[in-house]
Parts: sequence; structure tokens; C-alpha cells
Amino acid sequence: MLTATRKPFILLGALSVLCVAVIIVSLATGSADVTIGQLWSALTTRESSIQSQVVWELRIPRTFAALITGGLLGLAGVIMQVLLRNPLADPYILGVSGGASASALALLLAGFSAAWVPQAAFVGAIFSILVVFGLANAGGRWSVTRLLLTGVVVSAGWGAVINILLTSTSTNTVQSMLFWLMGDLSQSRIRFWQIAVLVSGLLAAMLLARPLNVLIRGELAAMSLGVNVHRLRVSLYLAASVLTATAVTISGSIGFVGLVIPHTLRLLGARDHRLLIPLSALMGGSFLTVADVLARTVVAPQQLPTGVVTAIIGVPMFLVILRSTMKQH
Amino acid sequence: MVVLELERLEVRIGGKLICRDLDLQLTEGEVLGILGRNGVGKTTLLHSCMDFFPPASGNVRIHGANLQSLKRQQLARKIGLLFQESDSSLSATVLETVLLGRHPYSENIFWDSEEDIELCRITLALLGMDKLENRQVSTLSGGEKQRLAIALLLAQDPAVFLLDEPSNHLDIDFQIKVLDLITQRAKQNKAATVMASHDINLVSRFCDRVLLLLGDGEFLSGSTSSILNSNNLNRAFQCKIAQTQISGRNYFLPE
Repeated sequence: MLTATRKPFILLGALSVLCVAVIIVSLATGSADVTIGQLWSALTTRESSIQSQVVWELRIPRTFAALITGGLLGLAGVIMQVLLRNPLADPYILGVSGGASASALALLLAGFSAAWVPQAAFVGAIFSILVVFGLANAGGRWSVTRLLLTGVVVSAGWGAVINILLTSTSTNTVQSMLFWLMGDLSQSRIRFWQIAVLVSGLLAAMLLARPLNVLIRGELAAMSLGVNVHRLRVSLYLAASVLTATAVTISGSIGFVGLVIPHTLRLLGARDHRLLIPLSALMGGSFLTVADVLARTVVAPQQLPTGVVTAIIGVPMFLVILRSTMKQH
Repeated sequence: MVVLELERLEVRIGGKLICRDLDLQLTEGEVLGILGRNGVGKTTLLHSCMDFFPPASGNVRIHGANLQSLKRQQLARKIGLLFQESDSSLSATVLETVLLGRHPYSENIFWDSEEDIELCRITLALLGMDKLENRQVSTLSGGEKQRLAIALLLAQDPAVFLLDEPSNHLDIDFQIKVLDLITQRAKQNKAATVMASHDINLVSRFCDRVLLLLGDGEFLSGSTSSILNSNNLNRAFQCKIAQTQISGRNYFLPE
């Protein structure tokens, strides 16, 4: 525990280096050729070459969209897994992305411009968060099982709404709806408030890291060690939900980041939440950036939805992790 | 001075009555044993003293303060519970686990203090576990896990020790050593101890007073010598229990 061993710092250092490397690769890769030298002069001099334009107007926004979204999802995932005490929990399990998607799709179906999709998604996500919170909270008692069931059921409800919307839409619009549903960064632009959500969410989660270490031991054990479990859980639910809603607003529902990243880090030895929380954000961001580089290069000049690539990498990664954890027991 | 006080306490779980009109005061250093058949409500009674759920009626007070008036953190500094079973599937090292006992006191929101780490190492040594501090908890034996849970409780340093089956998984020598350790620590720190156990002989050896739960809310309460006899035990356990003496100590055995 951040005390006797050097392992935490090794992990933190290694992942930071990896993250920087990933950013450089992402900035240097794409359909237009930009060498490392050109990248350097574009970043340092802001000359008005084509390379500089590509870097500043296309690659930097997209790379940072991937980094921020991945960070949000990694963080939301680790929080959701502690909150629900369920290894299969991911940021979307309680219906946040369902609400966002239904709302965004309804907007597209109604013929509004795609420029309004992020706003519609955010409103839908917040609506879903409040519905689940209200239903799970009815009667004052707020058990994890009840929250999980309510969330999963509401999520299934959104799924039905999404299907209705998809089947009653003309083929042209369906194409862009599907991209959004699978999660895609090609249209993403980061706004300042989204970075602020990530930073404040990260800080808040770090401050809750010690109580989280107690909470994973179970409700009663945590209560007996002085944790106000109810208040902590409500905070966790709201934090994870807002982080997820923000991520969905940027990029649609990109899967697997929030599920796989915390598990991978636990297997690498980061079990203490004081370490696991910052690392999840860091590795989530790196992972999604890599996935996005692949999404825009593998079938270039065509682009894949980023969410498809995370699934293609994430599914085998998760299965391998699952196998190795089963061997441990 | 009274440490733990139960006042006209009525506890129910799932409609089942555990006790009614239970009055009890424990002073500094006193040890109370709770005995009774499986399912009679020993654990539930301990849990109601932790304010895990509110009592049907009556009060639990600690140092004169009603449980419900205390915040969780204050409560955790006053009462500590040794759980009957602890979840050991989580991956954490032995030292990390004992350090959780210092959580109610942590002033730094992020780091563990050097004093706490030192105190936890000393506590582990008391239980013969100082060489295991970097071991994963999941690799420990049942008895080692139980000693670890006791180390955590000692590190928590409460004014009331609640012990739910403290001898679980322990070898016979450690059963005695561990209870000696806890009751001595309790006397030093002017703490009270409540132990729920199915082992009549351990209760007879370590407890000043006994609460014998008979089922349907009935109970017998009094000094150990007045409660522990064949008659009362026959009634509580519904089997014939004989009493014998070995070197001045009372022992109880099924006939």
C-alpha cells in the first residue's frame, strides 16, 4: 500500500511514459504524412504549413477527444465497479448511455441538425440518471441490488426505445445513428467544461480513495470502520454518472474502456484505489487514443467507428484477463 | 464507569423476536458472554449494538451517548466488531488489511501515517504475524485470517470490543492466547468486551457476566457463576449438559 513497495511508482511511471508515447504516435499518424520533425516544428513554431494545419486542426482535437473520453470512461468504470461490487459493471450498466442515445436519436429523427446531438445526449443522460436514482431511492433505503436492478431495467427500456427509433428512420439517417451508437470520435470536439469534469471527477475520486478501499470489503465492514456508506454510495453514483454522461456527450457510447481498463490494472497489481483511480484515467485515455489511431488508419481512407475498435481489442483482452484470473483462484 | 449500556432494548429481525426489555450495563474492563443456540440471535444482537439497523425499541448507549446520535466515524472509534466471517477473496496484503483498522482515525485524507504503520506492525507481532505482513490475504489459512481480523480490531482500538465467535478457525492454544490478549487490552484501555460464542467453556473462562438467549425473546442475564449451570444450559441448548471442575475451573460437556 503506497508504503513499503516501489511497485506503485513503477506502474505510474510506466503508464505516464506510455501515455506520452501514445499521444505522439496519434499526432504523427493519419492519412496525411507528417514526420516527427514536421510534427515538432508544427507544435513549436505554429508555422502555416499544411502539416501544421493538419496537426492543429485535425489531429490535436481528435487526440485530445480520445484521451479525455478514455479518461472519463476509465474513471467512471472503476467507480461503478466499486459501487456495484460487481466485476461486470461498466459505465453504461445503469442506463446513462441508453438515455443519452435515445435522446440523441430522437433529435436526429425529428430532423434537427447533428450539431445538436451532444446537447441532446447530455440532457437524455441526466434524465436517465435522475430516473434511476429516483426509482432506486423510493422508500429511503438504497441497496446496491436495487440500484443495479433498476439501472439494468431502465437500460433495457432505453434499448427498446432506441430500436423503435432505428426501425422508424430512413436509411440515410440510420447510418449516422449507428455510428453514434457504436461510439465515434470523428466528429468530436472537446469543450472546456468536459476537461473540467474529468479533472474535478479525478480529484474527487482521489479524495474518496481511502473510503473506497474500505467499501470494497462490504457494506457492514465499511460501516464498522467508520464509513458513511449511504452517503459515499450516493456520491459515487452521481460522480460515475456525470463522468459517463460527459463521455457519451463527446463520443457516443464507446464500449469496453470502462470495463477492461480497471480489471487490467488490478491484474497488474494496482488494487489500492489511491493508485487504481489515477491509473484508470491515465490508461483509459491511452487505450482509447490507440484504438482511435487504429480506427482512422486500418481501413484508410475509410474510418471505422472507434467503439468498434475498442470492442475488437477489448473482447480478446477481457477474455484473456478472465482466464488468467480464473487460474489464480 | 459505565461503558456500554443497553436500556429496555428490543431487537427483532424479519419479524422474529431476539430479546425484549433487555437492560444491561458493562463497566470498564468487564467481559460479557452471549450464549445460545444457532439462530437464536447472538450475531443480530451484536449488529444492533453496531447500529447496523435500529432496534425495535429501547436504546444502546456508549459512554452515555446514544448510538444514533453518533456519526459513523465517531462510532468506529468507540465500537469495533470482529465479524464472524470476513470476506477474504479480495486481494490485499496483510499489512494493508490491518491498516484499515486505523481508518476511523486517519487525519490525512490520502496517506497512511508512519505512526499508524508502526502501530499495525506491532499489533501484527502480538499475534505472531509480523513475518506475514507482505503476504496476500487470500493465501492465508483460516486461522491466520482470523488472527488478522483480530489484529485489525486491536489496531482500531475501540472502547467496546464486540467479538462474534472469536475462536473461529483458531487452534486451541491461539483460542486462549487471543482472548487473553483482547481481554487484557480491554482492561488496560478501560474498554468493555462482548463475545458471542458457541463455546460454553471459553465463555466460562473469560467472561464476568453471561447473557443466555433462550429463544422467543427470553433470556437469562447475570454473573457467570449464577448463569452457567446444568439447569440453565439444558434449557438453552435443549440437550443434557454436565458440569465438572478441573483445577478449580468449571467445564461444561454434553452428557
